[in-house]
Amino acid sequence: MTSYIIRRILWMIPTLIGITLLLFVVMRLAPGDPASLAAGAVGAGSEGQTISTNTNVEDAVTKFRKRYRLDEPLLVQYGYWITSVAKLDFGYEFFRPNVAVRDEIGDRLKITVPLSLISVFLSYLIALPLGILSAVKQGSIADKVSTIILFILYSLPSFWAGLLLILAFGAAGLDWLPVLGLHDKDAATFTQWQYIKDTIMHGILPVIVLTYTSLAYLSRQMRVGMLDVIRQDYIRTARAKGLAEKVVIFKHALRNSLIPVVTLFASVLPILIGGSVIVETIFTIPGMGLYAYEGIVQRDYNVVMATTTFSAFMTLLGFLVSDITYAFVDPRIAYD
Amino acid sequence: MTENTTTVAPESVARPTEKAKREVYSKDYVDIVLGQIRKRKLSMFALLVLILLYAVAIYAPLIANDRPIYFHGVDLASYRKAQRELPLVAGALAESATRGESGYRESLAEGVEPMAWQAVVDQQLRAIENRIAVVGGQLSKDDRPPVDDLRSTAKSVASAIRRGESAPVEDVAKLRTLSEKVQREMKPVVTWSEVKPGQTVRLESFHAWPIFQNLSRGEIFFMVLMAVTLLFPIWNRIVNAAFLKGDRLRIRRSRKRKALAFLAIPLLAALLWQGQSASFFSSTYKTGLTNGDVFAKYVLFPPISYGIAETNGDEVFRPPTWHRNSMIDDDGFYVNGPRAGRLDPTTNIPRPAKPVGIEFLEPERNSTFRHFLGTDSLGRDLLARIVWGGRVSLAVGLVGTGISVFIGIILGSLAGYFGKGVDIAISRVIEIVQTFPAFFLILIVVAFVGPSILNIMVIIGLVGWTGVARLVRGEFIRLRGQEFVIASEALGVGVGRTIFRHILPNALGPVLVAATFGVASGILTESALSFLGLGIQLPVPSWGSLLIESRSAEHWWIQIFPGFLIFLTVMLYNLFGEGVRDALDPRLKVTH
Repeated sequence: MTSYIIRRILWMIPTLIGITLLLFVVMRLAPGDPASLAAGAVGAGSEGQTISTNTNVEDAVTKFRKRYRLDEPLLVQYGYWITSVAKLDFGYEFFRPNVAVRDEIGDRLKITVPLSLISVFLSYLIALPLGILSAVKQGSIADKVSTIILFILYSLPSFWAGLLLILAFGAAGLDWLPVLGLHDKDAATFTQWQYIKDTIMHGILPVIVLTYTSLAYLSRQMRVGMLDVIRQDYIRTARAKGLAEKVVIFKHALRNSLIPVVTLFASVLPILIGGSVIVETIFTIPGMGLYAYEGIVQRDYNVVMATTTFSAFMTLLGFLVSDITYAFVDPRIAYD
Repeated sequence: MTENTTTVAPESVARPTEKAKREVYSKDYVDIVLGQIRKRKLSMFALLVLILLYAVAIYAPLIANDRPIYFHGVDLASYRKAQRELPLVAGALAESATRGESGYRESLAEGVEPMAWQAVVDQQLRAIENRIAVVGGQLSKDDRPPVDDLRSTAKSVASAIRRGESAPVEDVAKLRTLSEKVQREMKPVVTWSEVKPGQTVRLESFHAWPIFQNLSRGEIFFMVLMAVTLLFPIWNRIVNAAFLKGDRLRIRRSRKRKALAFLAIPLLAALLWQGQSASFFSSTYKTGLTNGDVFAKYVLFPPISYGIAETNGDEVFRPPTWHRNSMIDDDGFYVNGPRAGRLDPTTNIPRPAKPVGIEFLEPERNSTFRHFLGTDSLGRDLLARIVWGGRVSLAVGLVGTGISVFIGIILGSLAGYFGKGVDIAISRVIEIVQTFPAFFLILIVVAFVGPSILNIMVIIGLVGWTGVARLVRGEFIRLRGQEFVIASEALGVGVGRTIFRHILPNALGPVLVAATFGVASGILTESALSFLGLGIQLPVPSWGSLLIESRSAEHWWIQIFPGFLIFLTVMLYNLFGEGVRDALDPRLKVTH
């Protein structure tokens, strides 16, 4: 098992290099030059003067290129990038040259991680009982209703759901909840209690949107898993020897049907970025997703590379953790 | 059997065999699957609605358009315009004839790249011919000679120049005089105006199919394909009853030919299609009909008489016209809702009256059907744009999935069939591609490479093939050792034929299911991209990009309707996919 884990971790290195190299090349070869895009901002910001003549702009462009090593050959650039990443240094932002990307990611994660964790927790909290119930009471009205609702939720695009929630609960509709950002604009003046309440109010809608997508998926999985287990011989045996239905379900069936659903937890790690792009953009929450999105729109190579690497790493880690938990919870599975 | 036929008379043998056939007929795989799918009423319903959605997208030009489907009348404005321009374009050709190629090169401004001389002459001739077509097409036979004369003169002059000879001087002079004569003397009249003999001509009405004139071969292909599909229940029954005599075996054997008809008929139609070369009309129909530049004896407009890009400044962000907040009074002011009685923000006085202009054959100002789903930031009809936007949204999912299924089948079957090194290599590639955070990757590539429709389709395809590849690989490994494969190899059948003719058809079931769900996720991906502003770029509408026309809650209709169509399509695909999955593999059936 240990050697398996070590091998898997070692495999992650070439995979990560492959992904990042591919992205690196795609980005640099694509049309559009961040240097001339940023020339105005950089020149004005660092020199403290407005740029009026062409030479100044050219100067700024050259400086910018030098600073971010954009004037070197492609592979050399990648070499620089990967060596500094090995030291966990993702460079500086293009348009705010004093901000280190790593620090910014750290700040952003402080927002995204709690949001994701809360929504994951909530979706498990709702999905598991729902899935079990509709599997045990298969064919009942409750089962049918929950299946239909979950099916609808499963097909509901998250961005549209976000828009509908804003329409319904925002100022134009019922006016119950704030819809933009994570804090009120006067949050600095709030007392601690007000601040917490304000954050919760702002967080409700994003958490709903983040939750319902994984809820629908998880609950369907749970139901399928449970149905699968209930048909097994040992369940029939358990019933045949006269065990109470409660014991059959919760002691014999549930444990086995939980296996695939619990391991799904690991696949949540990559959602830390991917899934939150849309939600954070709709609700303008300054988390990882919005950061990645802004980086893409502004063609900030450093930000895009950093967020992608982070996200790819999380995906790989998720797969690994998923496989390991699988082996832990199901003794029938062994890796060598 | 064979012994019997030699001894017994043919008539007496015919009946028993047919009867035997009927009794012997056993359902094959396709029969069973089709029967299973047919049993699932909800899935069939989903499929039907999906086909209708695609039909709306394909027939969009006939459903929402600012041109009429059929027009019978006179186009005064185009006639006048062409007539006015004739001396100019004829003069240009005459000029070329007198100056020659060297004169053309000298006349160019500094730094202008000269065109090929032939192309210049061709262009000039085409300009003349286009205008003559507009003028001559509406003239009666008696009035046409000068125009025809002008055309033949222009042709002979142009061909002379092209040959490098100098055109006869009298011809060049005739070009100028004739075109001026046409302009001066052939004034069009409408019947009730005064006719001056020798000075005027009476225009003849013509028939036109303006929408069809602008259809491309591709559009014709899909329109015919959709017609064949929609009419399938009818023609299938006729063919089965009339030609195949209801014989189930023959019906089964005709399946391939019927499938071929789905491809061949549209292809043939597309190849035979001759799109009108020059558009007859230069004026827009609706404005022309409204202003009196165009006279119609009969005109048939599509049900939604608004074009995809037709703007109307008087009706910017107008709510759906069945909504009470959409009521407008005679002066163009909103009667109810947040926009009623609103003052100009800078001057604080009421805005000046701006009555809504209603063009020919458009619904009345406050009619429910005027803008059934409201209008957008430029006063474009949202329903028309949704109808057209379906083309992009529905196509992207289908084509993207097509690409990914294609890649997945090829790589998956190679890995599964050959095993060993090939399998290891392909499986490793699959693993790497799967670790890409898919949506994030698509986002980056589209943002950096450029968000064209084609790019988005290809990227969705390139990222999504791993699921299909794994399925196909698994099926191949399962089927690899079975007798029919070994038999086919023992018979000396080639590798390609073994893979694609013998194994693949048996492995396609799960692929079909995966593809159905794949289309749903492709549509979701495209609309999410467009929603983030990185997908299909305006003014080409897609359902996702229509959603972000306005993020203001005041314009709720813009955020509700396009999104609902995305939701509906995705749900229908999922519904259909579940039905197909249950039909193909009852073991996986979840519901009961």
